[in-house]
Amino acid sequence: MRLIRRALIPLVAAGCAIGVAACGSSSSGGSGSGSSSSSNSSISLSGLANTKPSSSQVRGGTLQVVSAEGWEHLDPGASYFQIDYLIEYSTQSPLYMYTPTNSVTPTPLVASGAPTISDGGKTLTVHIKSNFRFSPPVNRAITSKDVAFAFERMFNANVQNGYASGYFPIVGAKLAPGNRPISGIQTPNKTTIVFHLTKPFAATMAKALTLPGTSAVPAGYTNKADKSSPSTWDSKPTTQIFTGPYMIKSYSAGQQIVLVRNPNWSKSVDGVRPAYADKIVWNAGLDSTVAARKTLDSSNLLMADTPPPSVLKTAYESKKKQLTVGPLGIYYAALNTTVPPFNNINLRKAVVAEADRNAYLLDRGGKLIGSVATHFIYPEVPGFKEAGGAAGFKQDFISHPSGDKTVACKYMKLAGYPNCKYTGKYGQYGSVLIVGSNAAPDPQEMQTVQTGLNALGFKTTIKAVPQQTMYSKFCGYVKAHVNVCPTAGWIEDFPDPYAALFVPFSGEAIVPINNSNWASLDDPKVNKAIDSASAITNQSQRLKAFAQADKMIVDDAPAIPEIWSSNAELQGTTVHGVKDPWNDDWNLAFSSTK
Amino acid sequence: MSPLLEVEDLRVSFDTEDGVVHAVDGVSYEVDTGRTLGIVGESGSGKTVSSLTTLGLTRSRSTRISGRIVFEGRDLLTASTDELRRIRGNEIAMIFQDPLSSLHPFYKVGHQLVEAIRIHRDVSRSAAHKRAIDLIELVGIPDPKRRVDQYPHEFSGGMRQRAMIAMALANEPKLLIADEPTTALDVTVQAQILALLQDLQDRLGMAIIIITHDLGVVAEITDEICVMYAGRIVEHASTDQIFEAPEHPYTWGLITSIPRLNQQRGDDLVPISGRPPSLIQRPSGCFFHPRCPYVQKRHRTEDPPLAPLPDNARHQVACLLDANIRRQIWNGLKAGRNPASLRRLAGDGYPSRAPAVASTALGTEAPEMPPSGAGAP
Amino acid sequence: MGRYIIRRLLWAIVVLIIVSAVTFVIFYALPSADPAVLRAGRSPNPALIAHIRHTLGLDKPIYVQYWLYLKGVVLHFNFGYSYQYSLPVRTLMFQRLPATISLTVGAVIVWLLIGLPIGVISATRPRTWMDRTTMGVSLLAISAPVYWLGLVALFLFANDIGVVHIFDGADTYTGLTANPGRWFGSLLLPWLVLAASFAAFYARLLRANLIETMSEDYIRTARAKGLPEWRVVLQHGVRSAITPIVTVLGLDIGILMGGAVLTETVFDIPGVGRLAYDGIQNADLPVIQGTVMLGAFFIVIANLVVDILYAYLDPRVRYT
Repeated sequence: MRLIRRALIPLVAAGCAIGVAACGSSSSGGSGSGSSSSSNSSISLSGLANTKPSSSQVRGGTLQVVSAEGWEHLDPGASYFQIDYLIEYSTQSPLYMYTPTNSVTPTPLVASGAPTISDGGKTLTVHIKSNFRFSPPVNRAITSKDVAFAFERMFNANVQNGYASGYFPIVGAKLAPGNRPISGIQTPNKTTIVFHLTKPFAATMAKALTLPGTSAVPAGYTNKADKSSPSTWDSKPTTQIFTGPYMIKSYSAGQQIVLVRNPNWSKSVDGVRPAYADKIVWNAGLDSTVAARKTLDSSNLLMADTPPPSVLKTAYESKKKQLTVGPLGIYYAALNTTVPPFNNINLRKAVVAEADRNAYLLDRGGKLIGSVATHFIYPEVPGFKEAGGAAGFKQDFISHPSGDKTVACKYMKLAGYPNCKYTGKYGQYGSVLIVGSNAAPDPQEMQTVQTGLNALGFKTTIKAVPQQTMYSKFCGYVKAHVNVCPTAGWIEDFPDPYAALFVPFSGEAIVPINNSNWASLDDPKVNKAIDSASAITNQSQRLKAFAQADKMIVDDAPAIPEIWSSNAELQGTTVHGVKDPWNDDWNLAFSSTK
Repeated sequence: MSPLLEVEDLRVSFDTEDGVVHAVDGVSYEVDTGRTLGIVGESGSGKTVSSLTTLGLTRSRSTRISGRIVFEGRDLLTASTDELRRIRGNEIAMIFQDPLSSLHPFYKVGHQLVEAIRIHRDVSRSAAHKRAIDLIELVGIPDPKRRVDQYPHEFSGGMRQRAMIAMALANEPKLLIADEPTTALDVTVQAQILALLQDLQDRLGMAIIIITHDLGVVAEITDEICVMYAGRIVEHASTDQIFEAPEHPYTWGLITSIPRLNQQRGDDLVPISGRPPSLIQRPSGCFFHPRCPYVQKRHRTEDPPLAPLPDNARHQVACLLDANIRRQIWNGLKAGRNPASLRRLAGDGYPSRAPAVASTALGTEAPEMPPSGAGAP
Repeated sequence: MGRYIIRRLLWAIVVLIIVSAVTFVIFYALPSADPAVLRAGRSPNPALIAHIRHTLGLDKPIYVQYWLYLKGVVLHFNFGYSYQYSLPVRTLMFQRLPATISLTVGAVIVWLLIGLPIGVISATRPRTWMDRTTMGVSLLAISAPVYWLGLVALFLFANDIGVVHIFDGADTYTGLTANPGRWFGSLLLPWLVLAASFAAFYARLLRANLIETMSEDYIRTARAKGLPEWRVVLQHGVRSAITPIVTVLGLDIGILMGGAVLTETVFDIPGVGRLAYDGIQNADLPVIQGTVMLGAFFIVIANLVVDILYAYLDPRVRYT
């Protein structure tokens, strides 16, 4: 998952700021089970800003961007954060790209057409355009060797790429220091690259070719730079060679970045990005409230990260045309499937049945923030419809958004507790340990979970810690065996159900440190289903297969699906910001001044 | 020749939260050029206030001043602040009790002298600096060239007082007011300072007012003495007269309470009993009556005016006792008898418990008034 | 005096070493996050984490890491590399220092210009309506949290988001050499906000000291010499009353030079304080270490300067 360190969190309190009932004081606890206060229906998502591209957009001018957060990795081989992507997709060119109008099928960018999948899904062949050029001083056109080099860099441990081995299971590719040739990548001619994979993964890898790491790098050019860890392409991004419409002209860490046009970039060769603005100036490191207010009061600013609730409220109430809200990810409460008590599937189902998922929605802010989740593929990810859309698979334990005591009781009985109350053993903590962060609205979430669990007779302990600690020492640390992590969330790396399901729910994705499969779910059936689905090339079959995997996951009840959440962005009055729906953030190569 | 300074019926009172403090209540005295006046009294007698008022240093919103202070023909009480500033440190100079706290600790002594000079004289810094060295030499501080660049804390107590005197003399004042100049100094140094003052007076011909509570100090160098009590002058005479033939019981008390070298070791000191009265609630009648060993009944209600003696117009006293009786009592005191034994000379008084305890710094109860009507008149 | 200074400087070095050691210990004893993990992103390959840990030197024992760090600082003036930005910490700190210096020096001048005269005027007119008003307002200014004051100031006066468009808003800071006019304009509001509570405090402090000083005997002497009242107040009164203020001023400057975190954050001034704050957020030990030591350095030096200055201000003080 891409890290959005603070993006989702502030938004979730926004709905509360707009006056949703049952928000606010954490001491009053969640709405608890049973009381189904309906979501606030007065919040409407109409009348908001238009963030689609339009043919009447204006060329020229300077785009001014502000944000509270700074950039993490600007080396295309390492970039993995939502904010970094705004820069990468404007200054570099991956082989394929999802566009603001098509977030289902990757559009060829440096590639000249769709990839060819052969050998039962174990070979992937990509042809590239012959005249896509590098920026000065390299100037020449991209060749297949440059593409191969980009992959070598991703497996160079010094570059510190976090996803390469997951999405590019190429023969001979191993994470190690140094740019070493990968035996599984062949470049028979200047415009062809052939990938040989260790498993039939080509269909999924084809989607992953949209990641910035696949942007071509002049072969061998960065060998010296890559001797540092991280590479100086990361710490001194002005030294990069660019393939996108813009170049990084100046960079001040955490403060400012200025992009100017890349003279060697050609709109016609690119074929995808219009690149309206002549210059992009981005000031980061502002106070979040100040940045949001500036954007709201300004004509020409784009705010790249989420505004705080107070300003969001103002925007919603009086400046709707400057506000955009779009679906972004999912929140769920992970139940640890490996230790008591939740290593028993019926107990898990009971907990899911009991849960008042409306309460979670309200905890985080009501309708503006999203909707109640019923399965694990979320709205903007292909496969959502196939998985039943909003209604999902309608299992009995998931059918009632505000919880169903009868069904819960049924599963408690199945688990061996005729009184519908748990009286069994606990793991090392002597109770059900619930861990979340101490920043709102996590404490409310934890309360809601606790109330639901207590109703079923579970003894519970709540532990609130700083967010990073939660990731690195508790929920993300397998050995900690935390029973419930109610603030688990996920956003797909690219709009494909594999990216939505694999890491959080496949047993093969479990890692000892900084694990993201918080339920430690390791169901061979699920693992196989995801694996097989990842090999399917035919899109509609693929989606159906993943939908099936989704159903299996829901049936395993590794988590309480809480909400499919949305993200909000602000823009000034005279700027036409265009969003990438799958990243739910601005695409600077499509946005323009008015 | 008209006197240099003439204080006429000066009254100074301060409004405070506790009430009106009558610091000076109808005080008159004069000083001539080249003469020295001593103003003697306990703390709270108003002696310092009258001098500060001369320089206008008591003026404020809560002060009421009336009377006249005529200096060389000008009434200082009606002078503007600017006029007063021209006089301060110039024609009239004042030195204070504690020279360590009265000199600015952060400026060199020379600097402070130069400041005093250049305020009133248009001279260059170097000329003033030279004069400062001369002044330091004048007041008897050795090695003046080195001393001029030192700080007050580097001087000894006696030297500091000399330095203050030097500062006061910087502009050759016609009148020098010295407020308790020796109180903070050892006895031997005291004598030196007093000698210095006398010497300077001889040389510069200025008038001096010395304010002190110590009669021993004024005996040396004053020509005449005012004894003040509770804001008023109770006796005013030449120094010789004050010591030979004092007329006021308070003065007697001051004189007899001075330890003498020729006293017998076994003799007790004879202090004045009681404490100085509050200047807010002053006693009725004669201000001194609560402490007077010879008090009579009518002293409680009658306020004695300051009046000259019948046989010496220059000797004034404010006392209700008959002059002859007073002389008898003084002779008895001179002979070494104590006041208790002389009391009946004044009359039957009214029975009052003789205070057996001396008034010390910590104070004791004032002698209690007996219930009215008790005792035979 | 010379020996005294040398002794103090030696002590300063000891203090700095202790500070660096304590920071190190705190960071490792109470870590909130693993910096290697933060850099690697979510669900990374364990081999990648191990590699990052190795390149960051995190796999060595603590005391070895500390020793290497100390050696680097003392021998090469090398404070390590930021985990977050991969830039040398020394470079980062020196990049940020001018902004902090600009902010501090300007604020000091502003608060002295405002606070000291108010203090003098209030002291010479005690308990008048003017005195009570200024002291009341200053109490408010001292009590208002800087961050809140900054936000209020922006929302009222910034020319982009304010009600009245007077001052440059946040995030307009440019270096002095780059554009002096803009530099000045961008710092006006931050100076005022940062100076507000200090001015108030100094006004109150000077007022209290001066009232006490004016009742000293040497003030009476100064008047008796015939000095005009303004000279008595300024050259005799304030001269004495100012010494404790100089002490406090030195310490305040020392502390601010370590970075006025809140002000820098609200106004987006790229100073050392902001760097420290970001460092903490990102579990960036080298940056934290560097900024803490920088801050300690300034405070220690400020203490020393103030003590020496005191000896010049008050001749009664002597150092051996």
